[in-house]
Amino acid sequence: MSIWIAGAGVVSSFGLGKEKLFQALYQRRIGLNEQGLGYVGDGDRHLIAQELKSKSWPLQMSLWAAREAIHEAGWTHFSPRDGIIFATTTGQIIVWEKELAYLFQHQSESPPFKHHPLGTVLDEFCVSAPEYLGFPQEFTGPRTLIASACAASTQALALASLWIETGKVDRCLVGGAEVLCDLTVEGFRSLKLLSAQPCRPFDQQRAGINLSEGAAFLCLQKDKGSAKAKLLGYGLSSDAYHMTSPHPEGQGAYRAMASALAKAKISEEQIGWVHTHGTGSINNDLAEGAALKYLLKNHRPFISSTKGSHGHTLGISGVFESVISYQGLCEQTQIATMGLQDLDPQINLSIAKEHAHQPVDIILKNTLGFGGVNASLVLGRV
Amino acid sequence: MEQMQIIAAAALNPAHVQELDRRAEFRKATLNMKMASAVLSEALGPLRQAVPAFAEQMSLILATGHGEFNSTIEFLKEWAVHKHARPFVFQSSLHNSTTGFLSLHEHITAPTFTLSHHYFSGEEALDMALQLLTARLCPVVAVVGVDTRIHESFSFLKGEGFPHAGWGQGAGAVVLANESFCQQHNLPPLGSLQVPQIDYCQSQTFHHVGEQFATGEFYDSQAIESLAQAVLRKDSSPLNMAKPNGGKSQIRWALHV
Repeated sequence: MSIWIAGAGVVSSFGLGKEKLFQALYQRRIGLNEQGLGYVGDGDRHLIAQELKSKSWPLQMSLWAAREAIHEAGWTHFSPRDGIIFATTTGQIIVWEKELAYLFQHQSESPPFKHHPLGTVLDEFCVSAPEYLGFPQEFTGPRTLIASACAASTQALALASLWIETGKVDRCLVGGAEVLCDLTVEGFRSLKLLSAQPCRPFDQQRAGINLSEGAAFLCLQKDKGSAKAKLLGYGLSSDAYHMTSPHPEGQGAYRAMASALAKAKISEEQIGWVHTHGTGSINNDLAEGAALKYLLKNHRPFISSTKGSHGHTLGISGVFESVISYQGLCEQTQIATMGLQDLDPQINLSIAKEHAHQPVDIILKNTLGFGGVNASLVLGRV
Repeated sequence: MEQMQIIAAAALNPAHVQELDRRAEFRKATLNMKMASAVLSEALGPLRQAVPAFAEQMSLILATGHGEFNSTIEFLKEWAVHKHARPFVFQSSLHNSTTGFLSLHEHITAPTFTLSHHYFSGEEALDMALQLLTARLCPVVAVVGVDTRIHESFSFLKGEGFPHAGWGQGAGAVVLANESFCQQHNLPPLGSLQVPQIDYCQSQTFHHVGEQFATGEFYDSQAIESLAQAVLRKDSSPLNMAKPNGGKSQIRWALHV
């Protein structure tokens, strides 16, 4: 059964909308500041915030990106046969973070919370989305939130596909948001994983990863309509190896990719572009490289990581980079690896340094996350 | 959607929580990890002997409302006061850390998920398990629900606007399998599960705080423990659950005799 991708939307450090993101990548621009962090610009923040002042920053970004996706998909009404799946690792933590810092520093009994409700850390979108996206007030369709670290949104896309396959819904809005905050920036810094320079995936001089914020959504549906791409398959696995490092031989990543291809009924020779997770951390590069080598054998598709331009959006990296893949399929353009100069000799693959305009029908998109979660998607051209 | 079989269930006894601290394998684990691991291990006990390479075939869905938020608070407090970031606390602060711990502890290499959707986390995890089984993505799924009480030093959470005073904690596990898996391994099902019915309430307030919530027994992913307890006592009455925001759910299961 085909799952059709009818629309895509994104907010990134390059601006509002998928065209701006894709154009920036094509122009080889870098959306990271001098600390190697990818913040959404002040002008774009102001634009987004104008309408949704009372909402938190992650929710504001989410609603903007979701609206772009829905608009492209032409979804004008909603019913209980529609679903929503949100994915994130940080959710509204930035709101808690500010209030808790006040509490700790002032030893206050009660911090001055400005945003309500804060009953949980993550799920503000699922509560607010129906009201702001035009779903009926009494919207009763299924919704959920996946928080499986950096594979969260890839799993969310797989689950949405499953919902459509099993007849639970006819259409599903899938996406999420991540914010840059003390928890992630200082947390990753404490793990000595951050680079102040743009990351250099698969390069022997790599110095770490870049974090960035944003929001991204895709509209999936069972009917073709005006869809421009398909979600052909998904594969999921776990490493059971380490809390923060992937299996060194990429065993889990390989199983995720192989299952995605099997689900899509696609052979590795048919892959035109492997859009890797490619964070620029040595453990990720080596594990994913080993897994890809094992999967692809002698096949040489276009292989790249786009994180050297936009950074790592953590839990939404799957959907965020699927939006890039989607644009790549629509424009028949493959985006090269920014920052790659000298390929790590341990990566026994041909990684693209230059963009390409080859006819590509199939893209394999990978994500690997903390806790040993791996997820892969197979995207296809219509 | 076909009915799926319940092949094991376990509920955490609150009296045993302190005993978990004394177990060597939990030395560096958070309370969420300890409770979830203990209850999953108990549920899987007999299955490990009955089915070769059980964990390799089993998918895991962890349902949690607040996840590892206590570790998050600990990390942020240390950062806010001392500008000191502790890597181990950070890696334990993700909602998915609990799932990662369980997959390591039980050697689970099939897909693992962390689902966190407030009051409905438990019901949605059961629904997701049924979806995975129906689509034959895996033959057996363990669903674990766990939530720990938000750190008690946060007295502000007990204010009128945040009636978390009644926030409870607990853990439960239910293992579901498709019929062919049960037949292949000669596993007698304890019961069969139907798709949970969920009535989301759009209210964003806590105005409908129920009696259970006010007495400190409610937690977000509680539906799993409630189902596990019902299975263990062989009570197949529908499980009707009222949520603090006015939403409600119903879980129906049938006892196999």
